[in-house]
Amino acid sequence: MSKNMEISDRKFKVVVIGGSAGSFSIVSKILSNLDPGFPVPLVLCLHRLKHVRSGLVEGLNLKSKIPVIEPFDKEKLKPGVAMLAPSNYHLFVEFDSTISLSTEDVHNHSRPSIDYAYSSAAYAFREKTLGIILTGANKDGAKGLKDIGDKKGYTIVQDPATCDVETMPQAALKLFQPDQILTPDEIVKVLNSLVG
Amino acid sequence: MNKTCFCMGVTLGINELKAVTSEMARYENMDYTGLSFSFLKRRLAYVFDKLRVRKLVTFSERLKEIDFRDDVKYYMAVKVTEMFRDPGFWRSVRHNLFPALGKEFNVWFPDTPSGEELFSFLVLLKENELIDSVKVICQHPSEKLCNEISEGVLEVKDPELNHSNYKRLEERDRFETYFKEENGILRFDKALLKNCHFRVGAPGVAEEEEMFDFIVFRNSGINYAYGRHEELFKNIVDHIHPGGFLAIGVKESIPGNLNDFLMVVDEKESIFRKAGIKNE
Repeated sequence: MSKNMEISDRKFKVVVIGGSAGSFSIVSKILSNLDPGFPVPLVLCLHRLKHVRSGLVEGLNLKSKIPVIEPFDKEKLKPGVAMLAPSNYHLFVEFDSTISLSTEDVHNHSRPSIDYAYSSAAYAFREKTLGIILTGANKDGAKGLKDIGDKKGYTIVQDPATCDVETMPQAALKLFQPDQILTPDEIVKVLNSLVG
Repeated sequence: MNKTCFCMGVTLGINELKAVTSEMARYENMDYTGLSFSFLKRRLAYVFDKLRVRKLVTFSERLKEIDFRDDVKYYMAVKVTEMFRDPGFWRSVRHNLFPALGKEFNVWFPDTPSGEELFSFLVLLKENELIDSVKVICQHPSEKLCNEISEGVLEVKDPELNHSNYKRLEERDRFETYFKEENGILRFDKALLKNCHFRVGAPGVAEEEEMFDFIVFRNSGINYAYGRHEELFKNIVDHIHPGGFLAIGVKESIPGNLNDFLMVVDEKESIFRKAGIKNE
C-alpha cells in the first residue's frame, strides 16, 4: 500500500490514540464528534492514576458517539468500539485482532505504556495502523509512534501549539517526521473521513 | 510477515521462538510453550538482557547448567510491582471471603512471581487474627525465587504506593511494623510466614488429590495463549473445594467452558466461588 495514498482510501485495521496530561478533554472532544458509523476499532491508551480504576471510561462515554469500554484480556477488537487501556495494565494489540493485557514493569514510568500499545499495533497490522499522539507531559509514545511510521502506518501528531503540555508531541517530532501535524478539530475530520 | 524479537543483538523469529521453547521444555518446570507468542517474545528479550546473552546458541548451550536454568525461571517471572494492588480486591477478601471461610482454611498461590501478593495476604490474615490458623502454599518454578520470598525479602520499588494502597484498605495504620527497610530491600517479619510452605513447581500444577479453600491466581493467566489458558484454569478449578473461592486479575476472565462451575462473588474484583458445599 502506498504511503502517499489518500488517507480516506486506506483500510485501517486499528486506530490507536495515545495521550497523557491534558488529553482527556481532547479525547472526549474527538469521541463526541466522531461519526457514529466509525468503521475501525479504536484503542485509547491514556496515562491514568494507577489506583483509580473507575470514572474515566464512564466520563468518556458521557459524550462519545461510539461505545467506550475497558476490555478484558484476550477480548476481540471491534469496529466502531473504543477500547480504553485499563489502569495499571499494559495493553498490546495482537495479530489475531485481540488485545492482551500485561502487568509487566512500568515503561517510561507508565502502565499502560503508550509506546507498547503503538509498537504492538505496528507489528500486528503494519501499514494498516493509524497512530495519533496527543498532549502529554513525558516522552512515552514517541518511539512507538515512530514504529508505526517505520511499518508504513499512518502517523498524526497533535499540533504542539494546541496542547496543554507539548512534551509528548515534541518528543515524537524530534524522533521522526509524522504524516500530519493537526489540531484536534482536524484530527476529528481525518477520522470521520474514514467513514464510508 | 516478519515476526521478530530483538534481544541485545539476537533476532528471534517465530520459528526460533518455537525451537527455543521446545528445547527449554525438555527441562523440569520449564515448559513455556503455552505462553502467548507476544508475551514470550517480550519476556525472552528481557531474560536475554538480564542474563547478558547475545547469541541464541549460547542460550541453548547454557541451558545445560542448572543454575542458569534457575536464573531463566527467575527472570521469566513477571513480578508484582506493588503491595495491595487493587485495594478493593483485598477489601473484598476481608469482607466477603474471610467470614465465609471461617477460622481454618488453606490457600494456594499457584504462581508466586514475587512476594508482594503473598505478603499483602499475610498482613491481611494477621490483622484479621487468622495468621495462626490459615495454611498457605506458594509455588513457583524458580528455587531462587522461592528462597528469596521465604526469607521475607522484597525489593523496594515504591514504598509510598505500598503504604497508600494499604491505607485504602481502611486497616489500622501500622503497615511499617511488618517490615524493616535496609539497603534498598524490605525485610518482612518472618513470623508472618509461620504457616507458609514454599515449593518448586510449574505454575498451576497441584499435587494429586490436593484441594484448597481459596486459590489466588491473579494476572498470571493473561500471559498464556488460549489453549493453555483453558487447560490451566481447568486444572486450577479442579483443585478448589466445593464452596471454595478463586481470585483472578481484575481484567482477566474465566474461560467460557468453566463458567458453569463458578459463581460470581465480586464481579468488579474478579472473585468466584465454586458451586457446592465443602465435604458434601
